[in-house]
Amino acid sequence: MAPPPVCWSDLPEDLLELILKQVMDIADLYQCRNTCHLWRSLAKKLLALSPPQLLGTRDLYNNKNHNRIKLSDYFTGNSTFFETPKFKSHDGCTYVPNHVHSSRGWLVIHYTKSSSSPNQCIYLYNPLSGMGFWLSIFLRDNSNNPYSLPIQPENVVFPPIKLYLSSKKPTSISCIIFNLGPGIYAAWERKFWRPGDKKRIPILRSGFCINSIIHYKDEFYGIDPFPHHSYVNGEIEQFFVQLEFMGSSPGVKRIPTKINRPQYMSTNHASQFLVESLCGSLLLVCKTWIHIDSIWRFEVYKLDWGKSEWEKITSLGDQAIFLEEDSICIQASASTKYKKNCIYFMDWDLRHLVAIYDMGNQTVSQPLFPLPDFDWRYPSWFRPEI
Amino acid sequence: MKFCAVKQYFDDENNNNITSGASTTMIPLPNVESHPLAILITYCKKHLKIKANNADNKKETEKEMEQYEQELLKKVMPQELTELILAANYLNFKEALDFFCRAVASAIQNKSIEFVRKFFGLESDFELGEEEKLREEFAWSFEGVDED
Repeated sequence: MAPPPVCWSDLPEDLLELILKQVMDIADLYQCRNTCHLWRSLAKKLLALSPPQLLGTRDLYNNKNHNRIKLSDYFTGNSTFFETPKFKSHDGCTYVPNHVHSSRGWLVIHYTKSSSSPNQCIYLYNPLSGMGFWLSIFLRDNSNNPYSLPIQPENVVFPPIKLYLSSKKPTSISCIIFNLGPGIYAAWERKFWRPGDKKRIPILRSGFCINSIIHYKDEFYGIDPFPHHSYVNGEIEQFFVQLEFMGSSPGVKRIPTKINRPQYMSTNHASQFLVESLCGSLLLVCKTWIHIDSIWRFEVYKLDWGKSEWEKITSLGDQAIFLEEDSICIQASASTKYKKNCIYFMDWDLRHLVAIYDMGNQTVSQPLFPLPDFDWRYPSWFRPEI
Repeated sequence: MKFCAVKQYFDDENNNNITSGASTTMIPLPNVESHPLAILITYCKKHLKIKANNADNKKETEKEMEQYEQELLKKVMPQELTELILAANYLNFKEALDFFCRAVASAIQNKSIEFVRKFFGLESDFELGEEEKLREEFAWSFEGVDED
């Protein structure tokens, strides 16, 4: 008598994981989360080990396809396009996408009016699930333009609004920060807002701009690249800030920290990025281009909160960092396409979209795919979250 | 020897100094049915043959192997893939295991959740409308905020 046929539920979890590992498209892997609880936990585990995708848009004003977003897998060269939805406000004007970045698995698409008006709005979009929400809370009228300049869409770059979510669920009680500017309208404006609030709260004392805003251990931190009185006392610097919204005076609190760094890595010369490591430490990655030698230099520091001091580290261990405004740190291993102890960064100076810095031998290597057929504007990394 | 589990058996035997000829020894494989085993043996033989034919040219090997794999997939029913994966896993036959896992992964590529559930015989254990709940909650939160 023939034995009963084997069915899929007989497959042990580790074999199921092997199958899902072979799923090439992150969109397919992401959809697996809706199959059942076991698949959701496997998909979550595998997505955490997938490299982030490259996110970009075409040059909006020189190209007809300005409503397309491209997500590319840097390691395979495969790309997916997503159409951005059209938006027409109550005044009947069309808004076009201007800028896109990502936060906590959501795409933040910044729309501006196609006529001469600074009105803007934001669309929060998850390209893998198709879920999206309009935030029409930035609509301003013409009277809000302090310079009273006529604005032509052809030669004005609208400053992007950047949004920082504190969790992958935008409805959670934690805060969202909007980063407006810089631009011809005003110096940088930053505001706090929580879902359910009626008004947005301006963030005071924020100086010229705050970069690399990160949500770390329930607080928002950032880097002020042009702090007044950079050096308080020898090696103590004022570039590290916390954005506080609780309390009577929401604003920027400077956290003086000690850092011993070479002159060419000073706040004025280097780009600085905050990133959370896998074990929960806060890392500072400094990156600068040395013209004389035509090379990139990197320094990585870890914050010792007790001493308020940044300690230099020379190895990332088995981690890889994907560096940009929203930097990501992930676990690398022999089976991952990305390598451990490496920093993947955007290399503008050598005109490569992405390059790799190996912390071990301190060398920069060529990108795998030059991705030449796309005019990348504001490229960044996108990582879905389950 | 591609069937690592079987190889282990031979190694163990040699260690025990059993002198009976390898060709007459019966190796018990309780977890593998005859049908998937036959397919795996054919796959293994073909793999080794192609590799031997194209000893220097790795690309040729890969290309020929791919062609053979495509042909094989046409003859194999999706339901048989479970047995093949389990068999390849038991025998510790890495190449075949990777190949059949890839085959399943491409079968579910770009397909709807319903198709995937049907293919694998899965039941959804989620509460109804998780995403709908999120959408409603979210929409409410962002309405009615005063402009600047």
